[in-house]
Amino acid sequence: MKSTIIKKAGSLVLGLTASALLLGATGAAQAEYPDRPIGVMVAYNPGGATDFQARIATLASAKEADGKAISVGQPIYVTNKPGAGGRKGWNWFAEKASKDGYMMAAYNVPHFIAQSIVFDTKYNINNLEPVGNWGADPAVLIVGKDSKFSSATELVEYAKANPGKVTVSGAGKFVGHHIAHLQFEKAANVKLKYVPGKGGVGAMKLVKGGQVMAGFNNLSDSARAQGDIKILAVADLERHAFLPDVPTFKELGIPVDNSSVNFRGLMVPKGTPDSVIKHLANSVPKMFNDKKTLGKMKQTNSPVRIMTRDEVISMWKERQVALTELLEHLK
Amino acid sequence: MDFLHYFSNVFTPYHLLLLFGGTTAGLILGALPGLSPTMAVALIIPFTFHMQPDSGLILLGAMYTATVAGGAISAILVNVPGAPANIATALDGHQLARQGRASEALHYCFFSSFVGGIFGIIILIFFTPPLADLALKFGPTELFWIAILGITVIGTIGSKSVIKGLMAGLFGLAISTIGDNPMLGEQRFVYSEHMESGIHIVAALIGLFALPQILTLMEESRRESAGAMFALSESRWLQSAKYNFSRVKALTIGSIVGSIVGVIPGAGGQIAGLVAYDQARKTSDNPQNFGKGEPDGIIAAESANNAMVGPSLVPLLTLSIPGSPTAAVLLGGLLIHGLFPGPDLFTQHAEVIWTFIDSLIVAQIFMLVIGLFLSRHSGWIMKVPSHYMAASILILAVFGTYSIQSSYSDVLIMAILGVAMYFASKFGFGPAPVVLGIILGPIAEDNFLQGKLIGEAGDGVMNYFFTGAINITLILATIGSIAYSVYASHKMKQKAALS
Amino acid sequence: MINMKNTEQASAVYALAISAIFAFLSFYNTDAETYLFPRIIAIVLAILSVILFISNSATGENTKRYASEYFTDIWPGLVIGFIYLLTMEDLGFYISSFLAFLAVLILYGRRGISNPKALGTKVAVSAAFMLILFLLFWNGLHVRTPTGLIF
Repeated sequence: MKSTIIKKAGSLVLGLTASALLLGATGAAQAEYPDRPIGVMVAYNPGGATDFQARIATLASAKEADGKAISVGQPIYVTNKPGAGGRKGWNWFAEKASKDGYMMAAYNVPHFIAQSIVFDTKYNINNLEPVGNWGADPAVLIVGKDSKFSSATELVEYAKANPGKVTVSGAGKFVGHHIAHLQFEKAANVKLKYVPGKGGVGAMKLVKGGQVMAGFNNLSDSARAQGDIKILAVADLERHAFLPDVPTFKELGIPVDNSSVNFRGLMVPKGTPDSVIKHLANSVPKMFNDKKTLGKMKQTNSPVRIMTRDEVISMWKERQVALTELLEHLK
Repeated sequence: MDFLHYFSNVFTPYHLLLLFGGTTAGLILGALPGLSPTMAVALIIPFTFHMQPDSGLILLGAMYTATVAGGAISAILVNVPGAPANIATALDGHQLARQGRASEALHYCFFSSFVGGIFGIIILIFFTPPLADLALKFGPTELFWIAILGITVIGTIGSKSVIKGLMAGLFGLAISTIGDNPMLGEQRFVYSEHMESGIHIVAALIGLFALPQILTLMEESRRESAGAMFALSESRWLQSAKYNFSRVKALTIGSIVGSIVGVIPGAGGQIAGLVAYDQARKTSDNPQNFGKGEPDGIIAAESANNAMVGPSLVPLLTLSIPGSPTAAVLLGGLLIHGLFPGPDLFTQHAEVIWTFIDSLIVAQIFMLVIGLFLSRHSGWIMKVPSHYMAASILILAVFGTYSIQSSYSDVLIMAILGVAMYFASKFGFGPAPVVLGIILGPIAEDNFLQGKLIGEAGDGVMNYFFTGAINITLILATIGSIAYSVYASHKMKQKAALS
Repeated sequence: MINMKNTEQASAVYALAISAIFAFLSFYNTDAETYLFPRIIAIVLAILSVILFISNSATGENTKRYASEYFTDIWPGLVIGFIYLLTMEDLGFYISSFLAFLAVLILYGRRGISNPKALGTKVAVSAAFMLILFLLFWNGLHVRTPTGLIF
């Protein structure tokens, strides 16, 4: 009796081991920093836009040319700590993550800056150190394909005549779409009704299903959905290569700037040794610039904007000022 | 008949190997508590990065199919559902296993999964365009009423009385409001940082089912004389197959309910099994047998679970709107390969997408064969001494919970809920309604809030919630469900009074 | 009279207590709009527990097994679980899990710690189990559990 149990348990052991091996193995070791794989914490669910872009952006981290590492020099793995719109993961990162360069995190601007202004968070732009930016996804104003509006100006006129009657969806509160909505209301001097959806996908569904009249959504996702929706305007300083025919709000005479653009990149916590930050600031943009990575980004319709550490630092500071002003009365 | 044209692409040695590996790994991973289909698919996505699009999708599809069925293995053998979808399977499956009919229960599970799965994929192949239109019609008010309809099911499952079931469900609804609500932009009931991101449904599932089971096993190991718990009857799969396919009513209910729930985006395929189980019991000639080891319970629940897989891909592939949490993760898998869901997907990438759909059919066959093989060889789990079982479930529960979102808070929540559930179960409260409450809570609340905002901007909130054909149908169904429950309990009382 | 030896009545009393706490938390010092849903739930929960109490006050019989009986069986397990929870982050998931696994086997096994052969089997099984978990979670699924002081 007992021996058959052991035998069968043994076959289970073999089965589990086999499936463990089937799923992959870890990398090898090296000397000095980085001498082991580096983690990237993503504060959103696996499979979401930030998650899969982070995975693509870090693909080239261990790439070598002529036996020498050309970027970071170690494999990068992604761990997800989703919850509370990203606050769960970023709080953990600012407070508990190791400060030796072996744990980075993906940031989403303006989300984390807006949250640090509105909520009592453990993170803000002063205790985080960016090392590079890989993407920028502006918010766009969209309506359903059967909508009576065919331009942002028409929507503004209707909203002026019917204050509070125009429903506008977005991915949630205090995310890029909400910021864009607030800016739009202020700049066009209209009163709209903001309906937070369940993430960007939920917000898009409300527009496609005709439950709301308009919506703010990601440019990348909207560009893909052009069969079902009309894109009226881009909340950025310039037109976007994906949508060369769609005007910016500025062109339409509605002064909305790029405060709502969703920037994505990597950061480490403050207190990380300078030499490590320097290594990463140097190598991370190179990693983003890899040809295969760029190809995958293009294939997945992910808008790329590579920025260095210094550029990101000044971008963060600008956002901090703009968002503090915008969110003042919402606290 | 595009789907026939690309069938041969599935039968390359490499693709068959992927199907075999994906199905085996999926069944085993799905059987571990905590590794839900959503997680298994999410964990496997990075491995598909370097594959060809069709190969990657075949692996993902095989994992999806197999983990959904795999969750039933642990539900039946150790009374711990691998995923929320398998709760209904545990209700009767584990009872059968305790009667020494574990392998029979597993056979029913895999045959029904196979039937439901094939049915769901046929729906996906032939009815995608009209169903996609239907899916879009489900706005906030419709989803709100679906959640309310789901809540009326709560009272009838897995508790000692209707009122206790309802209370357990409401307790689930109550704890689902803990934490951050992105719709309101506010936090509620956050008294410690561990509560910040709320109660994760899978963490709750593990706690509510696994911990009471561990403590019960500890009780048993103190009291029982022999290590072996249950006798095992011989495994006769042909006999099970015959019986299984004779239960046409349960199979039909399961397949149809599963397909409908799967297509509705946001309703969450997690409830498909429970709704089908409830319907099967209401229409059964022997409703009193449910919960005591009635094969129809397993058949309805598992056929619904797998029937949900195909239709949940309808809104995903045509509208880029996932019908279930797992489909949401699959969306990421599609995007990585440059496959953008939408009407163009079936024209521009016809080869990849039809190969993927065809492979889902083949995956059902693999799932059935490997599943039957595993059922034959997993009965020994019932013979593991209870203290070994208790220790293993304990460690697996902790690892499974941690790996959901790398969170120690989830482990704490899991432990507290689990111990509380153990004591509550001594008073006749069941874990299934609590989990259902946690699933339905956010669906009801978020859609109510959205509907309220939209209604306020339009013709008024009441008007918005009580007009429209789908809304009225759902309201009538809700009333019907309550009326039937009252009628049934009245009849039961009369019966009891007579005897 | 409330008879706490009657499971039905006791469960109604406990349920009433829990719904009272929940009602207090959702009504006291909270925003009506944000806490609308919790408030509705709290009220319905309270009504149901009152119904449960009334409908059971008629039946008076005491039930068979009461807390003290099963508590003697499970308290060692609860203590192991509690220590395990407290130490897992500092000691490391793998080492604390190994110890918890072994402790359950020893405390709930039939043969005590004095039987060296049985103890050896238990240590071996615990170690093998943790090795499989390591291969599966750490190596296979890349789940990085806290390593703490040891591992």
